[in-house]
Amino acid sequence: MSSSAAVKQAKVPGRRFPEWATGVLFVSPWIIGFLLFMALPIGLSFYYSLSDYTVLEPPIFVGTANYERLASDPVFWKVMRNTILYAAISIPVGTILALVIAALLNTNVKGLTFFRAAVFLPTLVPLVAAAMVWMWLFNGELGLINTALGFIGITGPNWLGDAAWVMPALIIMSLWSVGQAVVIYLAALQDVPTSLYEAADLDGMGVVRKFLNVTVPMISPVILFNVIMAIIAAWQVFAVPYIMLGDGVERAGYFYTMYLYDQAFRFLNMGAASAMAWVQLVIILALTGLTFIISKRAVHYRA
Amino acid sequence: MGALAATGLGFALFGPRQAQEAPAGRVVIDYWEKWTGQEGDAMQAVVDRFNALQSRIYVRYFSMSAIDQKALVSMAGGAPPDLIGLWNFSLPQFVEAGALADLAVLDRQHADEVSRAFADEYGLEPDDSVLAPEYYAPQVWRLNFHNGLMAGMVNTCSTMGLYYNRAAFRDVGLDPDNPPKNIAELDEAADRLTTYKPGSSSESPRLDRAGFLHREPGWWNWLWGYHFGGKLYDPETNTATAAAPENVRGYEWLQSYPKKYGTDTLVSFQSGFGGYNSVQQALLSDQVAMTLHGSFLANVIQRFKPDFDYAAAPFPVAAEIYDPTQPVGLIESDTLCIPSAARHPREAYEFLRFTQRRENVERLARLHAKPSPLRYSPPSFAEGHTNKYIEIHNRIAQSERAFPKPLTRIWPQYEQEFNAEIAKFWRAEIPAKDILTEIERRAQGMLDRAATKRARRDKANA
Repeated sequence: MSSSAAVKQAKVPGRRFPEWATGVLFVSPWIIGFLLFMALPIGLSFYYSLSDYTVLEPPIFVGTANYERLASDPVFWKVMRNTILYAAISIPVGTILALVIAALLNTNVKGLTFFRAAVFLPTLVPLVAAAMVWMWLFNGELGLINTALGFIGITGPNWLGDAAWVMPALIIMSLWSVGQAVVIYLAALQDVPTSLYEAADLDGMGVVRKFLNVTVPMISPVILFNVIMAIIAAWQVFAVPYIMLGDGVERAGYFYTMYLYDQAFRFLNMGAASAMAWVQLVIILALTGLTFIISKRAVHYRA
Repeated sequence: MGALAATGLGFALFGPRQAQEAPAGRVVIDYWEKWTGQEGDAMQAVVDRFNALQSRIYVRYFSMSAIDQKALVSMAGGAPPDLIGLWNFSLPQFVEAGALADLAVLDRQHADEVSRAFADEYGLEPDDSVLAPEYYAPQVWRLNFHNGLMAGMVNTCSTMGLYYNRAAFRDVGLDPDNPPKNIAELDEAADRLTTYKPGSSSESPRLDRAGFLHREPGWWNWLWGYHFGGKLYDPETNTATAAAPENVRGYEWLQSYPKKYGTDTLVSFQSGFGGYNSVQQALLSDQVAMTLHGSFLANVIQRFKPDFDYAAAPFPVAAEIYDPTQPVGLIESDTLCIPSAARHPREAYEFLRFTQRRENVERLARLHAKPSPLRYSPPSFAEGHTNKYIEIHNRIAQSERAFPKPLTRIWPQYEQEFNAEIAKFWRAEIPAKDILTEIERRAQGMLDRAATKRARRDKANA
C-alpha cells in the first residue's frame, strides 16, 4: 500500500463515517434532486409517450400509437420543417456574425469597452420585453425597419403578417442575442498565442488568411461548443415566437416546442407531448453526434 | 450548523407569509380566479362580503393568469383548490376526465340547509336564486353542462355585438341611431366609413380608417359562419361541420374584404393598431369605425376615453335569417367550478350559492360591464351600468340564437385550425370552401380520435 493510500484510509479521530460515506452524504442533496426531479420524470415521460395520458386521468398503455400518430400529423411535420429551417439558417448566420464581431472587438480600437458592453447588453433584456420591442420594429405600417427601408426606396414587407416573411423576421431577431456567443469567442480569442500571429506575419499572411488559418483553428473547440449550444437552443425556441405569433399566420412561426407545449397543456395530450419530447431528444442527440463526427477533422485541441 | 439555524430562524421570522391569514376556527376554502385589476377587485368584494356575513367559512381569493393550465396541474397533482373560475368552453376537457364535481348532486344534498343559513345566520332577505333553469337565461344555463353533468355555474357571462363610432357615422352621413342590421347594410356602411390617407394612390393605397375589419380584434376567427346561420359542430352526431354552406358563405364574405381593399393594404394597416387595453385601440383611435366586441369593451372606453361617442347593436346577420326578436351573437361564461378532489366541497358549494344570489350576480356583472346571466333583470340593473348599451347584450343573452363556442373536448385544436388559417382566408387566393373543407377534415379526424380514446378509456375504467 502506498503511503498516500494509507493516509486516505486512516481513520481520522472523531470521525464516525468512512470517508466515502461522508462524500456521498455531501452530494446526496444533488443525487436525490437528480433522481426525483430529473431521472424519474425522464423515465415517466418515456412511459407516457407510450400511453394515452390526459394528465387528469391515469395513463393507458397504447404502445407506439403516439409516435405513429405524429408521423401522420401534418402540423407535426410543419413545426419540424419550421424548426429545421430556423436552425439551418440562424445557427450558421449567428455563428459567423458572432465570430466577426468577436474578432472586431478583439482589436485595439477606441471605445472598446463601450462596444463590448453594447454587444452584450441585448442578451440581458428579458425575452418578453425583447419580443415586444421587435414586434414594433417589424411593424408593417409604423416599424423602424420598414421606415429605414423606405429611405432607400424599398417598400418593406408585412414582416409578422405575411407567412412568407415570418421566418426571415424571426431569424433576424435571433441575431439580437448573439452577444452571449461573442463573449465566449472573445475570451477564446484572447487565449490565442500572439506568437502564432507573429509567425503568420512573417509568412506574409493577410488579415483574412490569419483569421481563417490561425484564429479559427485555435478557437475551434469553442466554436464547436457554441454550435452545439446553438443547436439545442434552436430546437427549443419557444418564448419569442409564442409571444409574437402564437399559432397564427398559417403556422409560419409555429415551432416544435410550441406544438409540444400545446399538446401537453392546451390539448391535454400529454402522451403525444411526451412522444414529441423523446423525438426531440433523439434529434438533438443525433445532431450533436453528427457535429462531433464532422468536427473531428476541423477542431484542433491544443496538447 | 449555527449558520443553518440562524438562516432557518431568519426565514421563519422574516420569510414569506401566506398572502391572506385566515381567522382561527373557520374552514378555509381556496378560490382561484382569473381576474385581476378592476375585475379582480369586483370579485374580491363579493368574497369579502361572504367572509363578513358568517363566521364558519373563510374564502381565500387568489387571482392568477393561465388559470386553466394551473387548474390542470393542481388537479393532476391531487391538490386542487376548493373553487376555481374556468371558462364554459374549458369544461368538456375537465368533465370528461372526471375532474369536476357534479353541482346537481351537491345542490340536492345541501340546498335547503344553505338557504336556511342565508336567512338565519347571514341575515339575508330571501331571494329567487336557485340552481335551476327558471333562474338563468336559457343559453347561460346550458353553458354549464357537459355530458349531462352540471359542471359549474355562471359567475359572469359575455355576449358579443357590433360596436361603432357614432361620430364617424355622422361624418359620412349615416344615421348613428340606425346601425346596420344585415350583412349587406354592414358592407355598405363599411364602404362609406372607409377613408384613405392624403396622397394615397390606387397603386399604393393607404387606409386612414377601415369601416369594418373581421380581424380586429381578431379573437374570434371561427365564428363568421354563425352570422349566416351556420355552426361548426353537431354534438348529436359528433360531426365537424366547418364546410357547411352557411359557413362557406360566412368566409366568402370575410374574403370579400381583402378582395375589395387589398390584402397587403389591410394587413399593413392593421399592424399599426395599438393593444386592446389602451387608447391606441383601433375603435377608440378611429382607425376602425365598426368592430365585433364584447360588452366589457365599455370598461376600456370608460378608462381610456370616457367621452368617446359610441353605440352598440346586435351584430348583423345574413338578411334571410334576420329576426329582431332573436338576435344572433356569441355567448360565453366565466364558470365557477368545484373540483372533484376539493377538500371542502360542501363549504365551496355554500360560497358558490352565495355568489349566485341576485345582488351578487348583478353587482359583479355591472362592475365587469357585462350582461346579466339571469332570466329576468330588473330595470335597476341597467341603471348606472358601465355599459350604457347593456340591454343589447341582455337581449343577446336571452336569445335562443345566442351561440357558444362548440362544446367539445377538441375545441382548442379545432379553434387553432381557424387561428392558423385566418391569414390564408385573408389572402383570398384559395376559395373559402377549400380551406373550410380542409379544416373540417382535420377537425373530424380530431373528433374521431377523441371518441376512440374515450371509448378505450371507458372500457379500461369499466
